[in-house]
Amino acid sequence: MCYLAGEFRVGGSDVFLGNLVVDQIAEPIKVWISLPQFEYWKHTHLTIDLVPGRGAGFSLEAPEGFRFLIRSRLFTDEEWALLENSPVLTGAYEG
Amino acid sequence: MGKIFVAPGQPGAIAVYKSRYDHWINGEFVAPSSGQYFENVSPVNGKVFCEVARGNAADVELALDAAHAAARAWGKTSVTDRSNILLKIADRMEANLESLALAETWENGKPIRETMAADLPLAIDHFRYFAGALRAQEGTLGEINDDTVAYHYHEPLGVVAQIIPWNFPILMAVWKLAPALAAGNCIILKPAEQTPVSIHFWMDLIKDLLPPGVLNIINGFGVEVGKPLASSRRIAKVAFTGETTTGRLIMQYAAENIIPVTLELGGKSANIFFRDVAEADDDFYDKALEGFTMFNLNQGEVCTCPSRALIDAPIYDKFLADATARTKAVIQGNPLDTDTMIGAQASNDQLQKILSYIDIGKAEGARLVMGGERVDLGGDLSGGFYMAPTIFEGNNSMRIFQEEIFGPVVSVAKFDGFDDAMKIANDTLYGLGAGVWTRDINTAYRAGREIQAGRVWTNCYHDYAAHAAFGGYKSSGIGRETHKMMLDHYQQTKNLLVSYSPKKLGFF
Repeated sequence: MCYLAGEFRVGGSDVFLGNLVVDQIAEPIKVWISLPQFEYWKHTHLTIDLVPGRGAGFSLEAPEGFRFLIRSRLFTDEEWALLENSPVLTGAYEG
Repeated sequence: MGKIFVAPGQPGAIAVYKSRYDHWINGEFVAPSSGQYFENVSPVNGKVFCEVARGNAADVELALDAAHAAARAWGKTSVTDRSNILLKIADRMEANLESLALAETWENGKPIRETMAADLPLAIDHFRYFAGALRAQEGTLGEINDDTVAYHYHEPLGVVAQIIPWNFPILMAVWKLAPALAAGNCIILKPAEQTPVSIHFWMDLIKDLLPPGVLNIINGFGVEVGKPLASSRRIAKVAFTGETTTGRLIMQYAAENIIPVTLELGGKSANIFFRDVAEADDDFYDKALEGFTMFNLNQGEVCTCPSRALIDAPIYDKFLADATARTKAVIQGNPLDTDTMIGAQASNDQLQKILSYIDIGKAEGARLVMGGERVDLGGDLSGGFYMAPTIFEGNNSMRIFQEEIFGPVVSVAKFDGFDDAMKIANDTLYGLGAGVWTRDINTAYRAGREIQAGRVWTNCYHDYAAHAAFGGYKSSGIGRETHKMMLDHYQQTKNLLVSYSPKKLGFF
């Protein structure tokens, strides 16, 4: 789901995954996942892809005739070695 | 031999869609204020079959005006009259069951065998159930003491918002409409943008039965219609069925306005087969195999899809082999053919999402037992969104065991005894449904009570009878539908606390 910045309230039960930098968009787009879901997903690399479709829920892309689609692959051993001990940032730390 | 229904849009079809649908506000079609429309595609062949109003916040306000204008009179309509209206709606639907079923199949892609045997009969029964529940509902009185009595009345909430998913466009609407109308509320209903018009087809059939403004339908996209509706200060409640993140956002909006919500969200239901299931090759074993195969019902686009099959170790190989054979017998084909058991996914993006899960399942090392690919049915159906029934073997920590795929995909794991089964079954974010299969009533009872899910089908699956409460534990939602308790979710409680004593208290 993609919402206007500030539309969706994140909190201590959400994990900040990173910033997406997108051409022609001035500010980076923050990507979040819920903490329990993060536990099941954290070993996978995520690609946010775009496919033709009707969107979902209140996500912003729907009226444009597209839908964001998450594609996943396993992290390589090298990637995981870097990530395994990285701190997990939650919405509780969001300023 | 099965019968193949003539597709809507072809000569002789028993259901005819209009080429364009506006909003339904105050008992009539109203064009969208933006003047814009969006295309509606049939998943059966991937082709556009009509266009639909693209609503916005201004359209939502118009519908709210109409609903508020109608609310007082509708709320004061006697329960007998309201109940009778629901019964008439049910009768009208029954008289038009086949055309409604065809309309639903054409828009959603599910086989007509299911719309005729499940979606529509269940929807009809739902109106009758709430018509009866309403007539039998009573307020209460409590005698506080000899002079003081507390009376409790049910009052409608007023104007409510209902946001409907695309997997059962008519039935899911009716799950919400029947109790809300019975309780005396006026409604703004937003159908899913993937399946926006079968509810208009229904409305057109029953429009003379409801006063103008009581039920209003606004079409459009979530961000353009759902958001202004769910965040409106002019609604007294919002009911939503759909995906969990959206449910959380709707709760946020509701928190801002301090209104109640009912939510029916995602699921990852465990379907558990204990070892005694395979003790005999009899009717019960046959039924259990059918229970496994239920992950194909509605192309797996059910929040309670039995998408995790857990099989007891001693019978694992035999049961999985028999269940795979059973799944291979599922007939995939033209949804308009009464022999077809599995039809098309509701949209292209849903098909793409399912395929992305096939990729991650393989990447995580799950073994693909069968399926796993898109199906091309050839001819005019080539453009449709067909997915092969798919069985994976793996373990419960894999993402295909933890996420709602919403497709005909079952992830199978082995368990070792009762405690292991319960541990795996409850290791999930969700808690909507579950299935338990055993010949031992003690095992059945204990498993049913131990599983953290709102509905545990025991030696059955995918039964959605009215009068059995349906709703989620954990991240699967709040509230219980398909039961008279849903009337409460659409009612205020008014307490009159009455003193029958002429004597003052003596405080002042």
